[in-house]
Amino acid sequence: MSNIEDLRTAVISGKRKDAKVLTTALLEQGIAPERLLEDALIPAMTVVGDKFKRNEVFVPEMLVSARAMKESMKLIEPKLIEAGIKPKYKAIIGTVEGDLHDIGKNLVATMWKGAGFDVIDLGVNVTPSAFVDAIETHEPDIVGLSALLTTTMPAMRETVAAVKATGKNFKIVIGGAPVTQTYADEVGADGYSPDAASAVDLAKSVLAA
Amino acid sequence: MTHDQYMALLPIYEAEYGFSFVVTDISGKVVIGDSCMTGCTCGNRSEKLRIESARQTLTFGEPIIGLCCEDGYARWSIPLMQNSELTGALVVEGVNLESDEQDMPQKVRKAAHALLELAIKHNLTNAASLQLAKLTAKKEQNRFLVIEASKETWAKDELRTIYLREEPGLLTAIKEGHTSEAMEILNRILTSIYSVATDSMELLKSCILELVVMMSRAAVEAGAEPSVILGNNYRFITDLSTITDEEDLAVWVRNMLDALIDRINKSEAYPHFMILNKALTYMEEHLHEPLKRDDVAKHVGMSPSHFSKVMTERLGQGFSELLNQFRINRAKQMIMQTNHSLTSIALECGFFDQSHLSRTFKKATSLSPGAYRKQHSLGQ
Repeated sequence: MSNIEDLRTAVISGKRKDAKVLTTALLEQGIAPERLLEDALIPAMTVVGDKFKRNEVFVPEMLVSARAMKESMKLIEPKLIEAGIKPKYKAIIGTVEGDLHDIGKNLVATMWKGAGFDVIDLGVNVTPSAFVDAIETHEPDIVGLSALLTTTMPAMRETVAAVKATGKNFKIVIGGAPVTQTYADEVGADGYSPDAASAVDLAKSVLAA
Repeated sequence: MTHDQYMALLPIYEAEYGFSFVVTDISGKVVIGDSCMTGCTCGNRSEKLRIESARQTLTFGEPIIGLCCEDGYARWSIPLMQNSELTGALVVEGVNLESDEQDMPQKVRKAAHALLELAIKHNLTNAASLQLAKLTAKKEQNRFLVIEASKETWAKDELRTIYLREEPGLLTAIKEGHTSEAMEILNRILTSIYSVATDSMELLKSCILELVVMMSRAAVEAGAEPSVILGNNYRFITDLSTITDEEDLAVWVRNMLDALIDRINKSEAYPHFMILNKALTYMEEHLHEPLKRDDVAKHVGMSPSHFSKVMTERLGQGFSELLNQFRINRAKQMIMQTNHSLTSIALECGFFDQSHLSRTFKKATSLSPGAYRKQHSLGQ
């Protein structure tokens, strides 16, 4: 018998293969997919995220944990759909135009997925108009913009302005190494997250607001 | 190509490869043959595209198989030439690439090349031009491969710059037992590494190895026993060579960095990096003043010449160069984030006046401060 605890440990220590095997076994045992999400994946990524915030893990360790979680999510997602459990929120995420860095963005996408969001990842170097198109098509509840470079921060401002002009009802959050709360206020974003780990709390708090 | 020639060659090609071709003039209009015989029903057989396709063949020296419509039908064209002049094309089009026939891609490739061979054999095209084009294309491809390969060098150069800038702070943090701060700095460096090398395990490994080498050198300078560091490294590098997945790499990075931090921590010397760290902090705090190398050297208790030597060796940049960069960076930040006038920014960043700022700024960024503000300013 596999148990949920093992799955949580596998994700925390970044054991992708174990996470896959355990998820399959747990689902076969008839454990509800949403329990795996809520009792294993989300707490596991919270642990890793907190450790990262406290500078107790290195970037590669965080990345392998995220990968292990993704592996497990791949198996859980179809079951959630089958069970008719709809994600509570829909999110669109992307790295702004001119920026090709995707580590932070990928981590946030994974964390959001783990928190039960339906995440549409537009990738890197995304133009304001591509964000607008995606918003028109998917009607998200929240949009996340990422930038690692100081030089691409202005693109963030343009993107925020462009997506706001759609007039749709959603929240905008931004993040990335050079971004600050002041900057977020300045460009008119609803929130800012200093790291991937805080992005889930941030999304939840702006959505609840 | 004459009509008789066409009637002689077409059945041979059809029998051998199962495709029919037509002859077009220079505008792409079919002049011999029936353009509907190939079975494509899309009707999108623009005359211009037929010749475009022949030109592509001429550019690359071999037939380029392209799509003639969105439904997945393919076309290839062989240029008809008189000397170096393009006069028309032999065109096969409307080939269904998604047909169930086995080995369709191979069949198509073979047939396209055969049509080229046919044209060369019957002197309908300029074989020499095509050969030359092929060689040129090959060279281009090699150049592309070299550029791809140089990405690795670029990644390492960038890594070195980032590392050297962070090293004094990193080592000071380790020496003073601020492990959390040290990890934060290492994570910044690792983020850069993973950003540039994320697609290639080998590049990732070699960049991380580079980090280890730089840190080991610093550890030795910080007073760690070289033989111990070397022994450690030997063991770790042997392990690294066998690693093929990211999970093992993550564990390896953790062990390696922990061991290095430990070594640096245990060493007893009070080495240059702490002095440099102190110097860099002082420079950043006083960059609005007319700062001189001698002042900074005095502040950290070193002779000016020795200070210069250490700085250039360790940071790869001289005093004025670095101070200039600090000032430009500060100016950039202020231009982007504040509405202060350029005159006041110039003074706050240690430039003599606005024109000094403008000159230096333009040299460093190829933009005037005004243009930079226009491009990057916030909230306006």
